[in-house]
Amino acid sequence: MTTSHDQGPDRTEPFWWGLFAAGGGLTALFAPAHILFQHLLGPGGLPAATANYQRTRALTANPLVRLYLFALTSLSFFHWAHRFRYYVMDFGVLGARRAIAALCYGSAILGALGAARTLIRLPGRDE
Amino acid sequence: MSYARTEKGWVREIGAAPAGYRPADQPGLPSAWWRLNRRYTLYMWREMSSVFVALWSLFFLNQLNQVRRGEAAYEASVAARRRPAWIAFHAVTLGFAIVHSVTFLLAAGKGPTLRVGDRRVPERAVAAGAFAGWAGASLLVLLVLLLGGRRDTDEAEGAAG
Repeated sequence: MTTSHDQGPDRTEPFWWGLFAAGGGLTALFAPAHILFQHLLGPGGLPAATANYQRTRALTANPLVRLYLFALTSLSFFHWAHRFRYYVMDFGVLGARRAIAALCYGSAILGALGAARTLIRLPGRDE
Repeated sequence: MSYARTEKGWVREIGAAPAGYRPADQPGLPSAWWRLNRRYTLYMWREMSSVFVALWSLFFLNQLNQVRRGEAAYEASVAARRRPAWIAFHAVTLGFAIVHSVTFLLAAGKGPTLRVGDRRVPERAVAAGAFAGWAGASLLVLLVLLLGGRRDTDEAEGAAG
């Protein structure tokens, strides 16, 4: 029997919620420190590795650092997508739910692919 | 008081709906509903935090992408981020990120019911653990940023010298 899910409950919701929660948790724990130390105190004189090309290159050559940066950035996109999907509804846009969800999660998937591409193409240790 | 006959029998007629009333099958809210009280407003600001954190991720990835393009490109992106507009963006983003962290970690205590033996772990204890994790994670980021990549830099400088 085939049923149309177009008007029914969204069965993919738990999957997206899982990515949202993972992104929410990871960014809650790590994002403020990155923003404060790299982008506010760094320009103020804190000798953060990211202020220096050689040190950033050396750090990002480490596969574990790349994996961490991939998780942090890509999951932050999924966290955004899930919140923004409902944010649009909160502002009174109640139609086109599936299209809005597809646009939000699609953007997050593109962002995650972009993050993977950026991090994979960074120079390795021996290059 | 008047009565009306329906399929289910006689029912008391209710008065006319007040202005602005919407039946439950036609949901709707005033467009500025989130300004009606502080909790709603905080909720909307909290949701907005995800936009700023995701933008920060994008910009950070863009900065990292400059590593591939070489030293001059990377140093230029670092120099650009010292400009007042970037500092302002990062200051606002930090504010949003902290709102997100506080609200998300407080919610951590409200989700699962943790038990040690027969006792339920109080919500506050779970939240305290989450905040301790936040402090630990922040310290880890600081240490990696302060110490990371130094040996390689020393070697490169030694080779150059």
